[in-house]
Amino acid sequence: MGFFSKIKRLWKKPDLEAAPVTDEAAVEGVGTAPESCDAADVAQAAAAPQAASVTTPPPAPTAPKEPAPPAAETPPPGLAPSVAPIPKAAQAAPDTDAPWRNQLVLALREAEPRLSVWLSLILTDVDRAGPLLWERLTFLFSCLDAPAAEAETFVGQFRKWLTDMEYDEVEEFRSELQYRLALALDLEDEEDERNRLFLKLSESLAKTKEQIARRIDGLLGSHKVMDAAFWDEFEEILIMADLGYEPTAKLLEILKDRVRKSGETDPARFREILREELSAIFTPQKTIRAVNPPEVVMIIGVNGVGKTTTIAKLAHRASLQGKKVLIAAGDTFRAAAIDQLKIWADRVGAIFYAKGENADPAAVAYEAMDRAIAEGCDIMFLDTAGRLHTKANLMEELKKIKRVLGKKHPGAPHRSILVLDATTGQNALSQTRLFHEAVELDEIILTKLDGTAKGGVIVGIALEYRLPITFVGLGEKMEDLRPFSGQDFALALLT
Amino acid sequence: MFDSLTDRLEGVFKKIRGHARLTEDNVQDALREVRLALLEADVNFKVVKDFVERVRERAMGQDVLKSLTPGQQVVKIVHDELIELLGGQATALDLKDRPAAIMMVGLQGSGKTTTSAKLALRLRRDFKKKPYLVPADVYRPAAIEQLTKLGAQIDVAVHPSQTGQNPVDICTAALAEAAKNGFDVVIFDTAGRLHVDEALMEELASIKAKASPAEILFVADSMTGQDAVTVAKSFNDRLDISGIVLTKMDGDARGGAALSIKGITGKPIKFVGMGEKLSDLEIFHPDRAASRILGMGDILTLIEKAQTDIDADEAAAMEKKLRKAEFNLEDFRTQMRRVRKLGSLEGILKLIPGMSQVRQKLGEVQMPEKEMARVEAIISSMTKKERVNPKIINQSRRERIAKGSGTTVLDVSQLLKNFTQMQKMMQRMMAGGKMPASGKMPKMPRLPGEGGEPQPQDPRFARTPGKSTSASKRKKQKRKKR
Repeated sequence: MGFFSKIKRLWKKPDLEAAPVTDEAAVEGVGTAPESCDAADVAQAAAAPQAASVTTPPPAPTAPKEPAPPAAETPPPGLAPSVAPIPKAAQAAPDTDAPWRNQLVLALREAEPRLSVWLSLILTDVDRAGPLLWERLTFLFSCLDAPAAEAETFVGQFRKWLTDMEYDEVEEFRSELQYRLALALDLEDEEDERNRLFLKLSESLAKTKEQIARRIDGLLGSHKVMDAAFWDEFEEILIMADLGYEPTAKLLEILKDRVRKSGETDPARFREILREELSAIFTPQKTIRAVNPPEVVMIIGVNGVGKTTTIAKLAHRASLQGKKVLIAAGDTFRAAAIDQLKIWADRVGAIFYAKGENADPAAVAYEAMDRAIAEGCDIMFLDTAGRLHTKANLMEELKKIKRVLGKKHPGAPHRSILVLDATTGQNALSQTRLFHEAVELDEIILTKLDGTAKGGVIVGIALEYRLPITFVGLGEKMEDLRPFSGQDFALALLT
Repeated sequence: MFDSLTDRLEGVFKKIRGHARLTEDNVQDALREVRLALLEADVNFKVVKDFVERVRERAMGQDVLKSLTPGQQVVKIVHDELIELLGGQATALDLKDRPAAIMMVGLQGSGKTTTSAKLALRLRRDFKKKPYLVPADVYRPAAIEQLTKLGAQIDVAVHPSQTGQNPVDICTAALAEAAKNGFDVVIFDTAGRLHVDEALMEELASIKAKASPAEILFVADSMTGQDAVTVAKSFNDRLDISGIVLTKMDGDARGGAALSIKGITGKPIKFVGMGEKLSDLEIFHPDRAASRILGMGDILTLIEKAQTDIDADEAAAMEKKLRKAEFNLEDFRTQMRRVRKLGSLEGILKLIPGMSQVRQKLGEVQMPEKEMARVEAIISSMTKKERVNPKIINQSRRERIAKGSGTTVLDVSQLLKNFTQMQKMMQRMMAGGKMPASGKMPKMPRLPGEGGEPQPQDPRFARTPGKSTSASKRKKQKRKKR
């Protein structure tokens, strides 16, 4: 679901001058989204808080979670002043004598219906944040037939963000804007956005790639056949890539087996085989994504891996996707951890729950759960204190938190996510194992993948534990936490 | 997963047992094992290459000492070489200037802020200095608050930095402030940054230029993998660091990063972070780190670990009880809980030389942790009276206890039987009797007070001392008796 409660395919009032023009762009733009307008989606999206006061969505059979009243009670700040009906906003477009509007409409119509293209048109001649940019953004939304009030909220939130982050020049925030649009318009799966992600991933892996690819080149160049010496050397390459001893042995087994079966001895084909196997390792298992709301996400990991920042990024994503988010400060141990999370919660516009330093984290979880249910949140992120996986008492504490959540809300936590630092070596395997034993992990998020020449540990973990890696951290910005694709990873690494 | 280089090398050398001299040929396979062991411990491959070369040179042509097997001989060489590489000359902090500035640098999440506070505490306590903490991380939300709170906890003054300020200005202002108010050490806690972040690295360079710190400590996570060298090298090239602090050494990481960083920068490792408490900052011991990297256990750390968790008074009281054989189930439970506090059994076993095989076997049969939890449940289901005087537990009480703890009457009886045995044994022991052979020890997991084992051999070369899983307990007990 996206940020906007509805983006319809057709203009309601065909008599508008702009209507036939933007019509097509809008149709194509939204049409490429995977059936984002089917009943369930609309209903779900309509349940988003912004929607309640502006639109009259069909009764939402699939979304019984959120009664409208509480949502209406807490409208986002930008919502109140301008509850303008859509037609007005659209009508305003051709009426004003700003020539750029018509030009923009024409350009948008001409352009390929892709987010990046639209964005570059919107940003033509705009080099810093200001009224012109807001107007154009609002105009784009009106062209896409998004409810005006929601468009207003989107722009308002974005402006607040820019103020918080002290961004001014377009270059500083362009990428963030595109990220927000992609999430809000539910276009993240689009080729455009995927390409962007792939580029970013390739960039981040450049160093790793340089090392691994060079060594593999060397390996392939110096061996005529895939013999024992070849495998020995390859084993070393894998270990050097932080893959780990056991995973390396496992991967070698798989590769050798495959090579033997195919009867291939020429190293020329090796790279391809390796890539295929790598992709296969990351093939995600089918899981049931549906949850009984509020969805509870528990974030765990050792000290300093980036749990708090990861929560901020995940919450940011969720709120851009139109979800009502609660962040619970379960790290009551580290000094000022609560303050840090509070700042983030304010920035991303999430509800924040904390009990104070040195409070019992299980109690925080319990009460936060209460609050999330009472407020009708869609998703709750629970931060936990960093803990070394070898400390039995701290692992017990984690189990207790999990139990308490489950007692309060059956099924919770729906996702227990282990955050791993990509610069970690073999210890990542030990971390995964012990945390998995303690609380049964559902997912892994790998942070700080940028700037390091590593990441081999991902392969090791996927091989050993079959746990899905769902996101990777590719930088410090909010948009830099991206969905992980094993295929892309294998491709970025080996081509 | 192999755990001890010794075990692995033994396998390699089986083939050539009987050779009196290490030669190019017979040492080849062994060196491959050494290399893999080091890579496995996260030592960087470049460092490994140089290192293995040095070991080869040193090993070549050496006579195999009579007391050792060729495998042990190589391990000894490797171990010595590691200590040499890790050690070098240990230099104390340079605190001549008044105020002397110490700058903490490193990646995000390596532990700079915590280490700053730990260092301040140490300087105040052990060096009788008057430290001044300066939060210079204006980027991460609430980083300043974090250091301010830590400062308050250890009663050390903290500079009132603001997020709007420039870190370079903060540092110069703080230095002036410190000079004015008679602080003698100033610690700059800089923001975590990637070594490739040009702008932020430049910021560090200007802090260095303006504040000319006497010490620049590079804070590194001991769990870092192969990339540790790249990062350390960048920081060193840019700032010419004066020393290294390794953090999170209380986990189960081998800490090969220590070797990588030391090897590549040549700078001394000055401290290691060993826990979450602010007093958990220790001087670096090359010999312990070497044993740990090679997976040979780290008995000294274990002993210290046990020591920190039990205070002297308590230990004295316990000793008295033991002497009078008043040790009851209540005490037993306290002891058991304490052991669990030391960390997972696996973590403890890892620190004990030669325990890797025992650990593997345990893992397959049953997790002793579970057994311990069960024993604890049984004891907890007893009344206080029963715990103090187990003799009163009759059949009906047993039934009640079994019910209460979700176990069977048989389990309860077994526990009581073992406990009585243990008590008897302790009585004998305390009266100066000898320990029974280890094979006859009661089969209860982790009984406290089994002291009296012979001192383990030098941990570095120990192979398989003791098969009991309660070696840790023994260590602790021994200390208590002194």
